[in-house]
Amino acid sequence: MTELLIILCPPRSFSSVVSTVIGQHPEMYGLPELHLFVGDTMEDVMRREARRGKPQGPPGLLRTLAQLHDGAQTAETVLEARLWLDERRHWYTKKLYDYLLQKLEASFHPKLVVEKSPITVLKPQYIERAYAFFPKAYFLHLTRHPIATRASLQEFRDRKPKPKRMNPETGLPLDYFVAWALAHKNILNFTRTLPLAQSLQIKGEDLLSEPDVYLPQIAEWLGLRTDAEAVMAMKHPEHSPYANRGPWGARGGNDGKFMRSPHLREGRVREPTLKAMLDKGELQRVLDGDCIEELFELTHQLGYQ
Amino acid sequence: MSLGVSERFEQINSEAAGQAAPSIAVFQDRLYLASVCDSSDESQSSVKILVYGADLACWVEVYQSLEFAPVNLGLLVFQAAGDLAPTLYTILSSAAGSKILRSEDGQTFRWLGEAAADPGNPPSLRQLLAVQDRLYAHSGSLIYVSDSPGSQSWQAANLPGFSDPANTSVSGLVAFNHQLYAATVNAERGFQVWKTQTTAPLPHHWQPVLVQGAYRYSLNRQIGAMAVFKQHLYVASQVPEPRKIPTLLDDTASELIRIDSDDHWQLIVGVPRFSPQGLKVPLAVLSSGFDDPQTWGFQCLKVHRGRLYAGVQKQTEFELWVTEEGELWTQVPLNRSNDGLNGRLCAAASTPLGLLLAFGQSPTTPHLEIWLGES
Repeated sequence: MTELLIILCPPRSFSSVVSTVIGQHPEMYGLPELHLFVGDTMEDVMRREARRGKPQGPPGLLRTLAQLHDGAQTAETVLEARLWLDERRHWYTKKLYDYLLQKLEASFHPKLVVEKSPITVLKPQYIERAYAFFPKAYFLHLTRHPIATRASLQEFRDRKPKPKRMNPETGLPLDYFVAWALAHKNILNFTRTLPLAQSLQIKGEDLLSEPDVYLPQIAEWLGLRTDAEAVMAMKHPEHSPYANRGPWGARGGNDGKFMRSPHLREGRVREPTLKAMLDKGELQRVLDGDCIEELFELTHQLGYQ
Repeated sequence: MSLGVSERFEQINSEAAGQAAPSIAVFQDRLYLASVCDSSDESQSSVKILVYGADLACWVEVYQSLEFAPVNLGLLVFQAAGDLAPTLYTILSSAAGSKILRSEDGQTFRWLGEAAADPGNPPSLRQLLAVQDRLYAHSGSLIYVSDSPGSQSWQAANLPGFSDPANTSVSGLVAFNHQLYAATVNAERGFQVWKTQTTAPLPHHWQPVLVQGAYRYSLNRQIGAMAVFKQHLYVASQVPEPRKIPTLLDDTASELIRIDSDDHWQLIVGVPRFSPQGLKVPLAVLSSGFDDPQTWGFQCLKVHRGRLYAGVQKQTEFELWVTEEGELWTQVPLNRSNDGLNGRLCAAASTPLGLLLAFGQSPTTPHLEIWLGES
């Protein structure tokens, strides 16, 4: 059975571009966001999607079904996928995942399939479910600087206003810094329990700034080809069938910005510093002293300043 | 897998051996131990130098003085210009400055005076290291050099923290491949290892060899031990002080890294990671702390009789590991009680009498606990 590489990261952490880049390796298949680890049954998944304004199901899942069943993603094939999914709401999500992997294996024979769904890291039980489903999966902990993640999340939320998550302890709106830290804590608490080399961590800034340095290492870790041709294929995420906004009825599955411009950009990805924000007094306006200390500690542990 | 290394350790401590901060040297085929003892005056510490030899079969005190507390000690056998033979030097450092003792016979000790890098601002020097015909020591984030221990003149050999303010101090110096290597403590970015040619003008020009805690960042904030073994430099990380049961933010990462003379590095014990120099996986196939995340860190690396020994402090016990070639490690059994009440390792030395380990005082042992191993 084809195994999985599961990318673990909070939302707005380069996951769309990184997952698609890795998935373009000739021996891999890259999936869009499936959102399947949030429930034990498809009924659980569909209800959660309905609460998020997508009663038809996760767009990434619909696009994947359309692609695997009909070889193309159109309004018609997506509709067929919706009907197919509706008839299987009683399925366990593990069964659906196995179904997808079997279809992929039969059609494309990948050695590994890569998947990323940032909502997986929002609750420890979601990550635990992913591990329970695929105990032999590789896990890539993908990071991004907290300031950049926060800014991206604020921009994303401003475009699609939603009620802010509340901190269960304080009852106050959860600042995105806290959400960033909670997500990475969930990931670290999980990955530290894994056997040697089943999980590795990478800074998104490093990977995207120097793909020729880090993509071969990722392939080496996964036991895949590391030759120049394989790496070159990875550097063309625009060739992925999911690197566009998708057809009507299933728009999404990846980050909107990425889908509008899915090419790998050249140049160094900037890393801001928390100290600059602290010196301006901006951190103190949104976090108390203990939170700031904890934020700095975690930021440094992940290789940021 | 066993290396077939059989090591038998016996306690040779004396109640007179002191309580803390030992330094060990081999001089004229005998073991010399400099240690600090409690005194009735809390502002002062009693400093002792003791000698142990196979002919003596016990520790004999050869020097004692009262110094301002707290005190750091360093013993070094070095032949300075003007010395007729290798001579035993002792450096005593406290907040009041540093003083140097000299002995030609291991019985009589004479003060050479106080070291001063700046008049009125004497450094508290640590770790005397002889490189060619110079002496090096460090204080805070500065490295000092002197042409003679009695010169009372130490000059700065580097810019503070190698121009990185996050390098809060130097944790160790070692000579390797005809160059001087220095490791820093950096809680923000992770430890750094720098090197320099000691023949260069002062302050020396230093080059970074390994940065960002070998890409484990602040989880590898300082080096606990360094040793040169079979033409490689081994550096081992530690957490700065004992941790309670690690929480997420207290995660420990005690790793062992090997650096070549051309600055290439390999991970020997630790967590696999991506790096600018390629994928690093532990060649010993052991995760950090020799597969124990509850490890405070490497307390010593010592080369003894053709083998490299690593002392590792766990939460409740000390472990000794050994390798013959650098990648295959086995644990050396110690017939020492591991009831969680023992003191931590504070000094180790390779001696003609065996591998010597000194542990600090504990609730069960009110003085240094000294063990001598025989293979």
